[in-house]
Amino acid sequence: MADADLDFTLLEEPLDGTAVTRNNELIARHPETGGIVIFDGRVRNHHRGRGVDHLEYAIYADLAQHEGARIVAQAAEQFELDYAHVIHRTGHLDVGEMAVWVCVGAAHREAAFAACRWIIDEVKRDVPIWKHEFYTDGTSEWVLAGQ
Amino acid sequence: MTVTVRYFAHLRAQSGRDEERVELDSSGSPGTAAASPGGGATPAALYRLLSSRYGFTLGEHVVRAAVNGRYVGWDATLADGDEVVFIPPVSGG
Repeated sequence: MADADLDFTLLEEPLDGTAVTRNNELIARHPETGGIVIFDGRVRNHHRGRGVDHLEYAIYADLAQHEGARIVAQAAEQFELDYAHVIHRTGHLDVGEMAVWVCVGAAHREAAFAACRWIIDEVKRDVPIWKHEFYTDGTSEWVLAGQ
Repeated sequence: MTVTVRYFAHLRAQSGRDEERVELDSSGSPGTAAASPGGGATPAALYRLLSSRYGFTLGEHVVRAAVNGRYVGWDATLADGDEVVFIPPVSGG
């Protein structure tokens, strides 16, 4: 699988349109793909019992790009993927907006499901992105994963 | 030598700054606080120094160190001009 189609993008603007376009491009480019799994992560309106109004992502871009590229490359090799693309938002996001999009294509569904799950877990563990949540009561907090 | 420390998220909030230059003396340490057993400055010792300066609440067991845009071990050797970033637990996705 030397030639898997890989991408990790950090995007400042709303990503719904970009994700749809990217998906269509990937489908057109990869007639060998039989199974596509997409994870679409959204900003929800609550966190640990508090109402969330919006959030802002802070990113250490150099390291985030490096880790993102490593993760999609490792997934492609490990799961024999045709492609693995990830787009992660930066900046201000309102409730309901797409925060992250993971799109994986493989010959068969088993690899696509497993790889998609693996990629989002790796992104949440290793890519230096931090969520600053702003609550409906006017307070805000940097989220600590696993807190 | 001098390293540049950039701060993100919790550590930016607690230090009150985006970045700063930290002077390390000729043995690679500000005093002896950041010296490794081998004599060079390490991310571990630098983090301890900055923690005592700013009262960071996140311990080394949950924070990771990066130098020049790559994760490194806590006992890596720092060099003049390095960009050092301490990575609080991430919360993307």
